[in-house]
Order: sequence, then C-alpha cells, then structure tokens
Amino acid sequence: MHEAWKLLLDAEFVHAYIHGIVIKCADGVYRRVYPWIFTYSADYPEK
Amino acid sequence: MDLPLSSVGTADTLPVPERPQRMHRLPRRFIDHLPEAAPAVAAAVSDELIPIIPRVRLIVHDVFKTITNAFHVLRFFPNRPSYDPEAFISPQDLANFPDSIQSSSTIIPEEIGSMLPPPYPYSSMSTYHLMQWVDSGSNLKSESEVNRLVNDVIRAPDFHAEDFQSESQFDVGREHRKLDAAINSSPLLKDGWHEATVDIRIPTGDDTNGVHVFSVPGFRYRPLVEVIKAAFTDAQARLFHFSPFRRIFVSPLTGRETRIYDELYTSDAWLNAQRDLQRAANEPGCKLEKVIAALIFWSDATHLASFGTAKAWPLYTFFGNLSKYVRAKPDSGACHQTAFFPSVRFITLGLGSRSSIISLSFQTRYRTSSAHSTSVQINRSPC
Repeated sequence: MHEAWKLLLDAEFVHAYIHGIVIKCADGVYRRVYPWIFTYSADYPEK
Repeated sequence: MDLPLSSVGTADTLPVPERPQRMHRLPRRFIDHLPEAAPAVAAAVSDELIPIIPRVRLIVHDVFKTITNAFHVLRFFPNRPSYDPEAFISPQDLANFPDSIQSSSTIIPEEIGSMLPPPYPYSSMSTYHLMQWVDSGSNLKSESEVNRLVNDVIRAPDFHAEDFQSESQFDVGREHRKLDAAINSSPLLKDGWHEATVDIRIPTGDDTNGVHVFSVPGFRYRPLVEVIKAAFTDAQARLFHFSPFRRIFVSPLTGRETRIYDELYTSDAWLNAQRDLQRAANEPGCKLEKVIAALIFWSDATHLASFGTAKAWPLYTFFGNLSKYVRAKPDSGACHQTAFFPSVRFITLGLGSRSSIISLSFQTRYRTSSAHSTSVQINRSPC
C-alpha cells in the first residue's frame, strides 16, 4: 500500500507540492495552484 | 376619581366602534424559507502596486466582508477573492421548488387531435425527423441526451451532414476502434491510466539473504498532477473556490457573530494553509495568484457486481474547492478516479519443524477476464 503511494506521490507531484503548478482556470485566469492534502479516509487492504 | 392624563382617552383618539379588524398571518411554522446564496462579492479591484522597501516585508490583508443575506449570514474573507463561484448560483440550484412563472407561460396548443401534414407540430422537417427518431426504436434515448445531440453536435458550426455521404454505412464500432487506436498511440493524453508494478520488500528472516523483493503487477493509476490539471480546466471548475473565508451568522437580535462551519473552504485548516502560502516566498519571477487545490482522498473495497465476487479497491480524489452540496451529488462528476490498488492475498501453506514455507499469491481483482495469479515461495532457513 505504501509502495503504491510512493508511485502516486511521484517526483512530479512533490515538485508541484513545493513549487505549485500554473493552470489556466475555468475563468481564464492563470493561477499557481498548490496541491494540499486535507483528508484521506481509507480502508487499507489488510491481507 | 383622578386619573393620570395620559391614560385617559379623549374623544379623538378613541377607536371608531366597528367590527374588529384582524390581521391574517400564516403561522410561523408554515412559512417556507427557501435557501439563499450568500451575497455576491463585488468585482475585485485591481491591486495597486506598493513600492517595495528593502528589508521590510509588508503583508497587506485586503480584508473583505460581504453583506448579510436573508438568514443573517455573511462571508468574511481574510484576503479579497479574485473569483467568486457563488455568483453563479441561482435559486433553482438551491431548492427544487416548482418554477411557477415558467410553467404558467407554457402555451398548450388547443387543437391537438387535428391531423396536419408532417412538419406539424414541429417547426421544420429536421425537427420532425429527429423527434420521429426519438419516439421510435429503442426507448433508452433520454431527453437530456437528445438535447445534447442537437445542441452540441448538430448545431456545431463544423458539423456537416455531407461528411457521412462518402461512407457507405456509418458504423459506431469502426469509429470506436479508430479512437482506441489513437489513444493507445498518442502521448498527448497524459491524464490517462498508467500501469505499474509495485515492489514490496519482505524480510526473509535470513541475515545472508536480506530482503526478498516481491513484485505485484497491475497497479493502475493516473498521475496526480494530471488529475489536478484536468479537474481545474474542466467546466466544473467554474464552481471552484480559491479563496477561503469564514461564514458568519450575525444575530439580528443581539448582533453577536457566530462562526458557521460548513465547507472545507470555510475551515481553519484551509485559512491557515492559505495564510502560510501567502507568507511563503513567491516562485522567482512569478506574480500569479497562489491558490490551493484541496485534495480529498477516499478509498475502500468496492463490489463491482450484484452477483459474484468481482471486487476492486479504487482510490478516489475529490476537490474541496467544490461545495459539498455539488460534490455529494452522484451525477456531479466531482469524483476523480485516481488509482486501483491491487489486492494481495497471503496464504500460509504449511509450517514444518525445520523449515517453514510461506506462499504469497495475488490477484488483480478488477480484471475478471485475465486475472493474474502467481505464487512465490520463500524458504526460511531452519532456526
């Protein structure tokens, strides 16, 4: 499970987490978006 | 008897004797208060450049407060928002009350039974053919899908019916195969699914051998950054909140302010995160507004069918930028499937006195047709 998360939180995501990513939003304005994890509710595969 | 002058009524002020007038008022419990959106934020004024003084960091808080709505609720922004998604909320989005104005204006034709030549009752032959198609054949054509066909496809400026003339017979299957082939060869569709192998390091208990690396194939995922980009450029992102705020109830009697906790973007967690982010140094040469993409992850085992054991372990991503009232609707499209975790099964085959054998087997459950099944044996050296 943690190994799977290692693949999800890849180098690209970590870079975006620290430096943000520039996205043209739906209103046409460019913003620097920082991903921020607020909640993670999950049931882990145990066996 | 002497009475104070004020309590004595004179002839002018006495009420004219007549049947008492009664105010007819609906009891309070029958008054239906329809929900109302918070007052919209006025268009943000352009920030004026503040001359930069060396070694002094000035943090300007453009504090912004909206007026209260009918429920005495206001919004308090620590920083003036650049975009207000609640400006697009109409009363129809908040309540499903019958729209009396619209229904009464619908004109019902009086002579329904009269038989008139084909375009009747439609305006043109195109509409006639389309409506004939809608009302015949399979009954799985929904009104919204037909509306979509007309508004998005037929009315598209580059839609030409002549394009179908060259082909002998239109075949959906053939066109789908073309699309599949294009997707598989295109590097542009980045938010597509990737497949990877997860390596698990399992201690063998043997000092000389170290760890055994056990590979679980079939971990399917979409890169998170691409999921965020796709979500923020989607049409739904018009409803995304970028500026956190406090929602405050102002008591009409005492004037006391009470904080309302309702959304992720009105929470202290986001307000603090936004404050920290604004205080942090900008990226070099970047003057863009810094906003937060609030990731909410959710994961649990899911049965895929009512019968049978087809099971998957998906990871969903939601965005807290979207109101929970939109997010929680099953048809909102707010949920982004991000990964499928492969499930691993451990089976203990036998425990001998001199050596124990542990077998591991795994199955990628979401593939019902081509499920992998492999097993690895680890021989533990005698203790």
